[in-house]
Amino acid sequence: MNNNINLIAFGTFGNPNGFRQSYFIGDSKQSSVIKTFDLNTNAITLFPNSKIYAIRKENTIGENSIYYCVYSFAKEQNSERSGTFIGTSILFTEKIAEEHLTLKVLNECQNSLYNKNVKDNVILVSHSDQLSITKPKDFDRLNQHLREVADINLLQSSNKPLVVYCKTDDKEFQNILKRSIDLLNSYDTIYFTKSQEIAQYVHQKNIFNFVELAGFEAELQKLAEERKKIRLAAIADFEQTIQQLEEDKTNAVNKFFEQIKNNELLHQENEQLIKESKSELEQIKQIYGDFFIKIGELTNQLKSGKKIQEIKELFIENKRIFIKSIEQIKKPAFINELKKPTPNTGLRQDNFQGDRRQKHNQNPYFNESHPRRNYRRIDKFKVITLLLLLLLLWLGTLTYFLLQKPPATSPVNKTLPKQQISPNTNFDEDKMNQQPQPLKTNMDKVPLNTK
Amino acid sequence: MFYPKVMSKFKDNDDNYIPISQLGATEIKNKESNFVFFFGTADSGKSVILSSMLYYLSSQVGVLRPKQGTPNTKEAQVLLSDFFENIRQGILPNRTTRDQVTRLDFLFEPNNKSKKIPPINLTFLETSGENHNDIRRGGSYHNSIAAYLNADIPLTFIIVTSYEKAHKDDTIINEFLDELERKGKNLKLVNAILAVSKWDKSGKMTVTNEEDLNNFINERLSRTSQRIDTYGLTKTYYTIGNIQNSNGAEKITELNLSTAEILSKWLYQSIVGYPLDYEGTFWERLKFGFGK
Repeated sequence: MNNNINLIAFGTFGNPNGFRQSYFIGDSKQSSVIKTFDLNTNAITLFPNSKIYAIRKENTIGENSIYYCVYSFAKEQNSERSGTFIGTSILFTEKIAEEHLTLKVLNECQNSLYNKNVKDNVILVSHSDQLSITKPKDFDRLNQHLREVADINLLQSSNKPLVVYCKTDDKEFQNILKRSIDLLNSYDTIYFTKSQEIAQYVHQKNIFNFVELAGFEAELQKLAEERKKIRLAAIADFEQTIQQLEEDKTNAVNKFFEQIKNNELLHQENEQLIKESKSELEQIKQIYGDFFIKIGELTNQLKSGKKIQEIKELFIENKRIFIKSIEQIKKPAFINELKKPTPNTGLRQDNFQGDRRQKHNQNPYFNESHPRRNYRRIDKFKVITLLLLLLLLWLGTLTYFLLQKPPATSPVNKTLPKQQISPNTNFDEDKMNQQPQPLKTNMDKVPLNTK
Repeated sequence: MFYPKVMSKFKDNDDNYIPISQLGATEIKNKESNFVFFFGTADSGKSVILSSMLYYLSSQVGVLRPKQGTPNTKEAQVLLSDFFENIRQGILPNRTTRDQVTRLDFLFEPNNKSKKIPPINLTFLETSGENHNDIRRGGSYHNSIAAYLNADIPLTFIIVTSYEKAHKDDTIINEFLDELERKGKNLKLVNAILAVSKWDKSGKMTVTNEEDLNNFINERLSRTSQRIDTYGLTKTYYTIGNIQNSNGAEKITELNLSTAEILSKWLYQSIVGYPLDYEGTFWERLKFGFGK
């Protein structure tokens, strides 16, 4: 069964039906969704006795299809309109047949279609459903050697057709058709014609891309170069990744090595600690045991009637020795924690750290700044405390002097006259006693009443 | 020998798979224009009418300029160039490709300087008759065309049927009018005209008596005629001139723009409300009089 190979016939049928296409062989599931085979007459058209071959890609209802088509000039009934034709298409889904066979079958179908439905260049029927075709004898052979189409992005649509002006009736055309499959990456539809008139028309309209054989080769070359560029870019990308991974590897290995070395040291320390602890454990057992024995002895002595006071003193002395001995033994120290190194690649590490910072702490330096602020507070506190101490000291000193002065006033008063005695001053003791004259310089500190 | 398979949508969907229609292509950009929608089956003469109207508007009564902000596509520009070049060489337009709408945007600036005759935006929609034929028997339009009918835009409809095939189009024209009504277009308010194309096939270039056209429409398009009269829609005939067949190709031997003039003037007046050849207000006439 040719489930994935369809034969479609189409044509322009004038008033009222115009362009119509019908499925003749195969599963017509796609018939309602595939694009029309109509030619865009603004860009390309057929002239009497001319043909156009086409190859087209399409992705419909999730299936990838490749169409091989051929158009022949034919007029509509009762009309002289231009841009009319009759044609055949072989539709492959997912897999295609050998080009030479496809082309052979396509030409046979088209010849059959044309001979049965066209007379004097005029299409004899008014709808594609009325067309008749003889099934080519090789049609079933198409299904025998199907191959998958590689390297074509059928989902990407460019909507940009290409027209190739080349010979379409020699063996070389099979090869061209085969190679053009590749170009379906760049173009949705590629038309081929050997008609000079059509070539001129397409070139003049300049809506579709038009190339001759050399241009076709150039298009293939361009595609090959683009692919090469993409391949080289991918290689470069891989190489860069390898380089980065090598750096990561070196870092990871070094880190591991250091960590293991540290862990080994810690492990030795731990072993030593454990040994010490074990010996201390024995000592503890011994001390407790000794003390138990001592208490037992003392108990026996008590039982035998020895003086309680004496025994109690002995007990207290032994207890003191016991406590001292126990205290001298260190508690088992915490075992140093061994850190397990984790390997990180550079790329992941960056993202991970960034994410963590963003998730938990918007300011990556927040934790670091916080203790710094504490240190500053402590500094300020110290300074303030110092200043307060100094102030207190000063106030204390001042108070001390102030409090010490009143008792000293008498001798001062007594000595004051002496101090005021000067060789030029006549000392009048009576006057002084009657009208005491305080020192101007020391007025506030020296009480007025000095009596 | 064998025959094509039946292409019923329901039979195709035995496995209950329904393909999703393309939604992306339904949005219409730049709605600020007067849209002119041609309806007619394949080979009815839509493209000929469009090309000759454009030629008349730009060669006889004004200027068709590109509309700023709405550039025509490259394909539309090629189509326009072909229209203008071919019509003077007597070459008729190609058949139109199905499943695509070629949008032609213009600013039409009339030669008439009256303030009542302002420049207008015109957007002609070039579609394929094959697509119009799809609405037969409850069928639906291709997305690209349906988008314009569904959009809230000012539409003028030019319904085209040919002199020779008019009798075959009576039903589908009615189906189209039904489709418009289903889409909420009030046919009493909508701008629509029935144009009987290829009138030269009648052996005459003009309709000397209005009754001739009415009789033709009554006879060949009975149901359409009733509907047009009920809604008060306009009727006209169309010809591009003498056409001769030489070596299997039709060629215009004498270009006749008289019917293009009638249809173009109707189009302008139906949009603006004043005839394209409006003589001007009293003061304008006085001013133009002094100007001479």
